[in-house]
Amino acid sequence: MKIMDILVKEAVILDLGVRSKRDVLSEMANALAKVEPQIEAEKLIEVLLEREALQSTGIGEGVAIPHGKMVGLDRLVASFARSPQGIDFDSIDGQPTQHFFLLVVPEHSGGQYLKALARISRFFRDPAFREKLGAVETLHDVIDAIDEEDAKL
Amino acid sequence: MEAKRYIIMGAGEVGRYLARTLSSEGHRVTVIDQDPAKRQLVEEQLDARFVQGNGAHVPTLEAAGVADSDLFVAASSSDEANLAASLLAKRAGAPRTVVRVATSEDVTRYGRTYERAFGADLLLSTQLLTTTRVLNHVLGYNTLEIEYLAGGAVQVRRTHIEAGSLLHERRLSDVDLPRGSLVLALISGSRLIVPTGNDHAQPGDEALVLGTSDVIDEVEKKISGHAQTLGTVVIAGGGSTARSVATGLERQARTIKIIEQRRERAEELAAEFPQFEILHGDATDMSLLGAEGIGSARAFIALTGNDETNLMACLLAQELGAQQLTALVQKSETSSLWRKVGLLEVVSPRTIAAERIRNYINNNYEPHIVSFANGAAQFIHRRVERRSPTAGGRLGDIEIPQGLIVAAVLRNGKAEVPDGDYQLEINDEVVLFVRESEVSTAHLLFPGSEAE
Repeated sequence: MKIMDILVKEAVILDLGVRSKRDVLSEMANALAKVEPQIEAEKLIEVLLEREALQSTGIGEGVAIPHGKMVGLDRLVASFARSPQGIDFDSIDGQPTQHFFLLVVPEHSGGQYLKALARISRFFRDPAFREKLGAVETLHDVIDAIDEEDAKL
Repeated sequence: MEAKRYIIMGAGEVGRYLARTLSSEGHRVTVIDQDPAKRQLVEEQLDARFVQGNGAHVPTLEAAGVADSDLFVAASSSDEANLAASLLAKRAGAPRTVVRVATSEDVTRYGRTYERAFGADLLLSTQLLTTTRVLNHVLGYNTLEIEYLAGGAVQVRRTHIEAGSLLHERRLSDVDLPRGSLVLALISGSRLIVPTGNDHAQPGDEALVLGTSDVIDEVEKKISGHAQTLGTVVIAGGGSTARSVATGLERQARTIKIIEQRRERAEELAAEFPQFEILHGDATDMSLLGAEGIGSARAFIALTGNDETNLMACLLAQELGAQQLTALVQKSETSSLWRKVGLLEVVSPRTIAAERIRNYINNNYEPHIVSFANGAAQFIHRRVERRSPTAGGRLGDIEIPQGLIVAAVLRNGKAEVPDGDYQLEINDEVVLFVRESEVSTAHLLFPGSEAE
C-alpha cells in the first residue's frame, strides 16, 4: 500500500495555528470531514482522543500518528499537518511534535489498518525526509516530498 | 580503567567474594554488615572499607556513601532486608541496585514485580543460578543465561553454539523445533542477527532461543546436539537446590534418586515427588550407595549443605563406578582445590552469583539478555487494550520481519508462541521482541503501559 493512495491532499494543513493536542486533532478532523462526507468531525475527534488516552501516538523525533476507526467509512484515508514551532503532544521522547499524520480506517479494515500504521511509522524514520518535510514552503512541495519518499519505500 | 565505587551489603559468601574480586581490580569497595566482628576481615582480607550497621537503615546507607556510588549490591542473607535496602538506596541516590533473593521462584515468577516495587535493576537468586549451572553440566547444555518472561511461562535462553550444534550444522528452516519455540536471534560478536530460514550459526556464536516453559528444555536438548535421555541420576541431599535440580532433570532422566539423611525431610520429599525414588540415609555410607546401585548411575550430583559430605560422596560414587560427578562446594578455597584435582565438576554458588554481578557491571549495567548485543533489541510486554489498533488483528499483518516479532502471547494464563495466522484479542498479553529501529512502531501498534 502506498501512502499517496490514501492521502487526502485537500485536507493537508501547512501550518497549524493551534497550541494544544486537542486542537491539533480537531483541526485535522475538521479539514478531513470537509472533503470526506463519510467522516463526521466530532465523532472522529472523540475516537482519536480515546486512543490518545491509552498512550500518546507521538512516537518521538517530532512525529505523531493519530489514528482510529470510523463506522461508515468505506476505505482508508489519511491527512498530514505541520506545526513549525512544535506542539506538546505528550510524545514518548517528551519533545514537541512538528509532523502529524492522521490515519482513519473503516470499522472492519483487517490487516490494511496495521500495515498502513507500520508503514507510516517507518515512513518518518529518515531524518533527512523529516527535515525536508519541515523546510519546504508550499503545499505542492509537501505533497511532492511525500510522493518522493513513498516511491522509495 | 576508571575506579568505580561499589557498595556491598552483607559480608557473607557472595558479598565477600564479590568485594575481593572488585577491590583486586582497583575499585573502591565498601562493605556493610551488622556484625562488628566482620570489620577486620573486610578491611584486611578484602581490602575494602567497612561500615557497621543495618543496610536497610538510611543512616547506614548514608555512611556508606550510596549517593556517590556506581552500584549498590544487596547480598545479605535476608531477602526482606535486601529488598528494603534496594528501595532506600535508590531513594538516597544510588544510580542502580542489584538484589539477591533466596529462592528461584522469586525471580522466575515474581521477578518483575519485585524489581519494580523495590527499584532493583537486577534481581538474582543464587539457587536459580546454581540450578542452571548444574543442569548445564549434567545435560551438556550451553545456557549462558535465562530470562523469564510472562511470569515464568516463557523463557529466553542465551545459548553458546558449539561445533556439532544443530544450529551450526543446519539452516534454520531445516531445524525442526517444537511448537511453542523460536530462535529469536543469533549473536555473532557484537552483531545481532534476526535470522531468516537460510541462516545458520557459527561455532562461538550465541543464540537467543525463546520457548514456553514446557518445551524450552527440549529445544535446548536439540540445539546442544546431546539428544540422549539420561539413565539414572542420583542426587545427594534433599534441600531446595536439590529439588529444583531434580525438577529440571525430570523429563531428561529415566530415573531420579534422591538421598536424604533426615527422615522427616525424606518423607516430605516422598510425598511431594512420587515420581522420584527417595532414599533415606547417609550419602557417604558406602553400603547404602552400593545397595542402591549407585555404580550404574549416569550422573551423581552432591548437593547437601556440607562441602565435605559432597566431596566424599562423589569420591565414593566414583569408586562404585558412577560416571559423571558434580559437587556443590560453598567454600571457595576448597572449591578451587577440587577444581585442580579435576575428578569432578565443582559448582560454587557464590562464585556463580558474583560472576553474574560482574557480567552485569561489564555489560554497562544492562540487566537483560538481549542487550548483550549492545542494546540492539529489547523485549516489550504489553496488554492488548480495547482501543489498541491490534485488537482483533492478525499477527501476519503486524509483524515486521527482522524487526518486530510477537514472540509470545499469554491468553487466560496460558502462554503460546504464535504463528502468523494468530488473531489477537483484547486482554491478550504480548511479549514483543523489538529491534531498536522498530521501538516506536511497537509503541504505536501496542499502546499502553508495560504489562506485569
